[in-house]
Amino acid sequence: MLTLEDEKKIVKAILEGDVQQYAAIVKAYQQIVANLVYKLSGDKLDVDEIVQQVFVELYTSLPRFRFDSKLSTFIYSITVNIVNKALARRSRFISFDEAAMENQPGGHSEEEEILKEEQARRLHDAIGQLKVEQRTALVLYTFEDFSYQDIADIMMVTLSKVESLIFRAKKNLKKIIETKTRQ
Amino acid sequence: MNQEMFDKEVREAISAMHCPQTVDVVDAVMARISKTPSIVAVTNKKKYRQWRFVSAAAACVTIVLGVGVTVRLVQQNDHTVGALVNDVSAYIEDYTVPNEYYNNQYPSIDDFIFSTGENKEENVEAKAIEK
Repeated sequence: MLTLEDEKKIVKAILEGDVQQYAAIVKAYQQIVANLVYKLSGDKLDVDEIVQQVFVELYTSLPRFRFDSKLSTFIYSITVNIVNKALARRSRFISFDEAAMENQPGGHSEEEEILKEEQARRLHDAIGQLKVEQRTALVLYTFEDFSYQDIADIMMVTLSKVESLIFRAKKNLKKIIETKTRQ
Repeated sequence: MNQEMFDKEVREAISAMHCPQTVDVVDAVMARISKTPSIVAVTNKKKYRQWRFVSAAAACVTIVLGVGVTVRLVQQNDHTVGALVNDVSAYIEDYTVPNEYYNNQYPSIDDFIFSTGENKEENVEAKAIEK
């Protein structure tokens, strides 16, 4: 992982013409960006293509990046914008590949494991049914332990809006799950 | 299920989501950015625009200051300039023709015009010597 000093040096070198240094930034962040894209969009989008778009957009935006925030925040902000634009062209409902779900820590009986898997699947489905903004705020909330202010910076909204989005996301999730359970 | 437990489950569910594929887009990204316009040019263009703006602003400030100082100086020294003009006018008006002209020591135009066939220059000289 690159330190803040490394990032500043690399960005400075790139702006002075050493474009090859950009590969270091891509290598450091590509998987993290891919994970974020997947969490935001599920199976709906071509993750590879979106990740490429993110890094191309980052490259062209580097001249206006002043290190007022972390480079990672800037990257995530671009990611959220590109994913939301791509999703706007498609249905807002998304689904997740069950194979993408990590195995939860063991130590439970088989029945408990099955129950846990079922709950996780329901949650994933419910998350996929949230509105884009709510889902984005909720995903970022659990992604790298962002604070509400970090999320506001990434989504370019106010702090109170982030609080409202996360509150509504959780409320709607509960409603969706309860409705599905009753069915 | 209480809110705290639900929040914990949501967190765990989202944290457990990972992209099923390992991405390696370095080569593809480097190939794509090689086709985009150079950001070095964009950075230099911005610097150039900033310098142009600063130069223009400095020129405007200099002109305004220069005009202001000139007006102030003229206003302060107005009576001196006026007095100088008056003095020069008075000098011109009071200027008297030197006595030599009245004493006819200098040849007059008539000497040149009414001389009859003789060498005009000699005539003039002779007349001057006579006087």
